[in-house]
Amino acid sequence: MTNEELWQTALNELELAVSKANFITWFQNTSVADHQDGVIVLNVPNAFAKEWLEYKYHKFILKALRNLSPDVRNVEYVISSEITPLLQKRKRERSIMPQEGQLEFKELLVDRETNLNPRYTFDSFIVGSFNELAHAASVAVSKNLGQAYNPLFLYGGVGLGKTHLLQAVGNEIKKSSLRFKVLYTTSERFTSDLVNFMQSNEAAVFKEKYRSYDLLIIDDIQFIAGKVKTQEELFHIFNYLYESGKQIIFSSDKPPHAINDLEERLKSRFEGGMVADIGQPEYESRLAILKSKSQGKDNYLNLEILEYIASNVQKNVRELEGALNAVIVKSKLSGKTLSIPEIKEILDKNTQPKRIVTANHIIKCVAEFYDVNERTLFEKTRKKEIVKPRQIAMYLLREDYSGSYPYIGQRFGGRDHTTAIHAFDKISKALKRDSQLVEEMRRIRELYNYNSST
Amino acid sequence: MKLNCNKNELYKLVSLAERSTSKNPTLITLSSILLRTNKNRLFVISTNLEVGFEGSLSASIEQEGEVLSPAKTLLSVLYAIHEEDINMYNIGGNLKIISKTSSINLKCLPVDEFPTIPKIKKENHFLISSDSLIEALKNTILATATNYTKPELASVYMFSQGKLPLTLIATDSFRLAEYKTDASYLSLSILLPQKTCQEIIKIFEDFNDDIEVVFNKNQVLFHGRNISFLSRLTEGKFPEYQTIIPKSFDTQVFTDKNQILNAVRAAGIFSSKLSEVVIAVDGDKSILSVKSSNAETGEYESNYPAKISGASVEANFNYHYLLEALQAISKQKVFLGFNGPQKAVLIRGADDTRYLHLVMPMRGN
Repeated sequence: MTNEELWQTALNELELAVSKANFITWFQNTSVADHQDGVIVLNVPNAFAKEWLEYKYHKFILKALRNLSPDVRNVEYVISSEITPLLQKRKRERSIMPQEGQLEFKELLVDRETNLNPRYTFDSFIVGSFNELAHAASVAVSKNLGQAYNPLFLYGGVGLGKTHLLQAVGNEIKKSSLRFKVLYTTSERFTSDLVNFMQSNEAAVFKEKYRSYDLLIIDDIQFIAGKVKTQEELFHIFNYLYESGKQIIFSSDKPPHAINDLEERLKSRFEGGMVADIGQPEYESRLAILKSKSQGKDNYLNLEILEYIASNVQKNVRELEGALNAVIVKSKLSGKTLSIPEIKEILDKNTQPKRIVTANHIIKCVAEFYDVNERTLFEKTRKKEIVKPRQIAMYLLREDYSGSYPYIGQRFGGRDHTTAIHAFDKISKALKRDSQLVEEMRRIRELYNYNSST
Repeated sequence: MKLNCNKNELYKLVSLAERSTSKNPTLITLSSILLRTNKNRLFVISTNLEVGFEGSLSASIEQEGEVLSPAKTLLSVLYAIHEEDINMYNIGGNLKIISKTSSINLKCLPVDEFPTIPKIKKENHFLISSDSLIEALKNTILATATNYTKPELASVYMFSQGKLPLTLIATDSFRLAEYKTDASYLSLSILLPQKTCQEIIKIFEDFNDDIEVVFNKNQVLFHGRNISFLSRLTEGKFPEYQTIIPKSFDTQVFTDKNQILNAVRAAGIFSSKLSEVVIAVDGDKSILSVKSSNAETGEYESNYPAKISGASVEANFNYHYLLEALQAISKQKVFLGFNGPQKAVLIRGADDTRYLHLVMPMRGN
């Protein structure tokens, strides 16, 4: 008879001996914790039950158990945390329920031991050509800790998913075995930790702590630039972990060689394993991300809206999510699916303010980029090498300068407004399939943003 | 049992004890109150197996004894008696309560069915003034979570380490309240269930005396002059919260508490379905604005000068959260620290380091 069966049978017997109310109050939520050398240890839900069973029912319990298993000599009771107390019914007096759109302290989700946020997993990571390599390397590392690529160094711009990947590796490892000691930290926290330990004269404890991990993840490593002592400590910890076959993962906003004020010996070590970059997501990936993020809350969304957001928010994934959320919140508030102009309005407010540019400036930059004479754009030529820049200029005037179609038509040698509309539509469509064009567009925009800021 | 005592004192204890009874128990004794004499004191005891209450008053006792009386009935009966001086004795299974003008016969329950209140070994204990404890609990309990999916957030975290002040913290993950008391204890880290905190506030509110706190792994006992209150503790670990509290601010605002409190309250009238109000800080003109608009009821806007340093910022908040945070501030001047529209705002009394409140904004549009 297993312990469970033994206790269950004893309970059946006890149920007959005491009143139903007593049985439910005192014996429900009890279980066997241990059975050794004739001593049975029972889990009880609270101190009251412990007291009461010991004081009132001890003899009954012992007798019931002895009848079933003669070797039982004694019964002990422990309060167990595994048995949840009965849920209390709450009064509804103070029930400000969290509202939609209410932001949370993200830090609270974080695991205290590892600093990992369980939200970040490989499953929730969307792979596209822009992050394929980084993703594959991370998965390889998580499958083969310390063996595949050590160290793994990921770099890329803000809001592109570096932290997500780093933490996904940590969570994956944690999931595979609780035995592994994992720490996720940022270089800033690493530094302040070092300072704290040094202040209390416990530098040795600091070393001990960081040397004990099987997987050490340091995010935003570029911030140790210029911090000599931190670099030195990191160098020694790195060597120790590396030599003991422990995995180390770093992330940064730039590749190791581009980090200034970083010791050469660290740079070369960072580059010693695998360096993978995460680029900007292309249109398809952006759309895939939006589709996945909008799952389950897509009442007010349709493909057209997602496509519009994907083609207009280009910089990073975080901004993309922000734009999507803003659209959802606004739709819910107004209780309907928003039109494209309404969405444009939201996006304009949410995305970073554009620099103010003049029409002349845009035209000049387009001409400069395609290396054509500015004046030829206004002429009535249909030459292919002129038509394209002209249409792009028209598109940009509409999009970034918010010129009216008649104005744009007028501007380009007194053309009709329908010409401007045609140009705008054509480029909008082309942008969705032609990544080359997207890149060109990005660089033209960079051109006038750059120029106007100087 | 036979005794004479003051009805008002007894009523006060019974009304407190009644709160710690079980409202619809499987075991009928759990909705009862035990009256027990000992030397020249009358003890009033109740429990719902989550908490245990024990209070005592002085009484002149002729004959020792105990009765188990249904809590609701006893409370109503005592309320109905006008005279202060009452005599009580038990006869058969009944409790007789006699005053100058009335005589009551109350049917009671067998005493031996009543659970014993567990004892805690006095290994870990410290003293705290009731004022300080109540103040700290009142100011933090409002930030506890109202659902029980995460028990550690539906609790107030009581924490002390070495010479650091004993600190109480609560958060429902949308806002956080932290209060530093003047007590301290070598090493303490316990989670008080929200319900327990409410009871402690009720019981010790006008107590004006020191309270001894005794605790072990599972339980805590609050022991005052004539009242002891025992509770289970919430299992689990309170999240690492220190990192949430910002050390620096992009925008700092000093303003009159009542002014902003009134503005927020008024803005609440016109807040949207989501209880959303907008706080706008204009760093250039040193103007603090509180705004709200509702498609059905109208708009509100209030602008007034304030001492502002740093960047301009505009963020949306649930006005209930702002209101509760501001109301908890005891100082006349409040400080608000912002770090952009997506980060929490820190609210505290100007030059007050004891109490702070953090509120996360809502996603704007």
